[in-house]
Amino acid sequence: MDESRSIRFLGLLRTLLRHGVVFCVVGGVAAQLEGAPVLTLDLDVLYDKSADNLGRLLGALRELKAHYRDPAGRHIEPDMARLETMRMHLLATDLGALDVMAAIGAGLTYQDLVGRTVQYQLAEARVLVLELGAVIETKEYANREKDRAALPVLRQTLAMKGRLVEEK
Amino acid sequence: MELEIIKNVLAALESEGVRYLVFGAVALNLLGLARATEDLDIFIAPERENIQRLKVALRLVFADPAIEEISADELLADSPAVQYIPPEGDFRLDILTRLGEAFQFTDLEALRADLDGQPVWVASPRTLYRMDTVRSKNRGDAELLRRRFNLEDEEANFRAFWERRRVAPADLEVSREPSLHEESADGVDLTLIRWTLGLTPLERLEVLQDWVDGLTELRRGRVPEH
Repeated sequence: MDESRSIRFLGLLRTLLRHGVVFCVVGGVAAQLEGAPVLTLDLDVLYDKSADNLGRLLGALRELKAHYRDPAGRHIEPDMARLETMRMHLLATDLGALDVMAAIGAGLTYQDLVGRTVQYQLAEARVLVLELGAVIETKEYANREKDRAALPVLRQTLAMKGRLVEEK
Repeated sequence: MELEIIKNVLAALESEGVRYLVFGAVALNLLGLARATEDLDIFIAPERENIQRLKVALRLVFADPAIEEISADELLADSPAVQYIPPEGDFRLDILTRLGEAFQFTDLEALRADLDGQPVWVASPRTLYRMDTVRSKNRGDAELLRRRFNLEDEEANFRAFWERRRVAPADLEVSREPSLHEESADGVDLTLIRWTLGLTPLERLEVLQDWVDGLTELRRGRVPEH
């Protein structure tokens, strides 16, 4: 992808869904979908590590011409061995930056967190999204500067969502 | 596009508390529809005090005695449009208090947007669509707005948009007042959160996409030609 072009969020989600990948959206896009106005420049997804799903994920990544965002500039493509063994894959694709992860936070997997997702219909795409409370917990755990900076907005959004539910 | 000058002018309008909103090509850029322009188009509230604040704001940016010639009488009269051209450069500022008989300041929906770190008031996609359908030379932009923001049935969408938020359009007029902008004690923009929560998940993703597209263009340091 031309680095000066911006990510296409819906295009990435559609590609993963078209290949039947089992995943949920996490990170900043999950926060935005949950109503927190945060800016993020990549899509983070947590994938199910079952063998069948890894094959589907690899198919999607190949279609997206994914390769690792390597600081040394080497061209390294994801493969089954890497998807099986590595926890985090920070990728550049034809449709923008895509981070696919086998676990987030304190080693939590898709199976650990699928019970804390909500399902959203985005045009024709139906996606699972990590609920805002869980997004906050993962950012608290990560505790990087950018995570700490986002937390006030996420917490205020969660509080406002709670008030809106009570009003109903 | 004189991006730095536009940013400086908008920052001055904000600091002086001018009641304004951006429309035209700069607004389209802020909404992710890239347009090349050297003009900044603003609507301002048709009040003498507001016009005076505008002049003070312009003096913060331009050392130009001609700013005094911007006439409140002219902006409050039947042909309420003034163009200010600074002594140097290609930048032009078009100032309106009304667009024909169709639009007055109080008719306009405004959204809070971010221009490279500078918060600004910008006309909403629906307002821009309506304005551009009124101004015949901008019909092409209106069509792009219609497609980009799914304004297929603009009137029905407009009503549905507000019904979903359980807010009357008139209330937004109040919410765009900077003095009524709501923030938490730790500086979080609660108005923006409330607005975002009022959107559907797909609309939230589209808003994020537009922010990212806008940021990408600003990082490139120019507005691309389409």
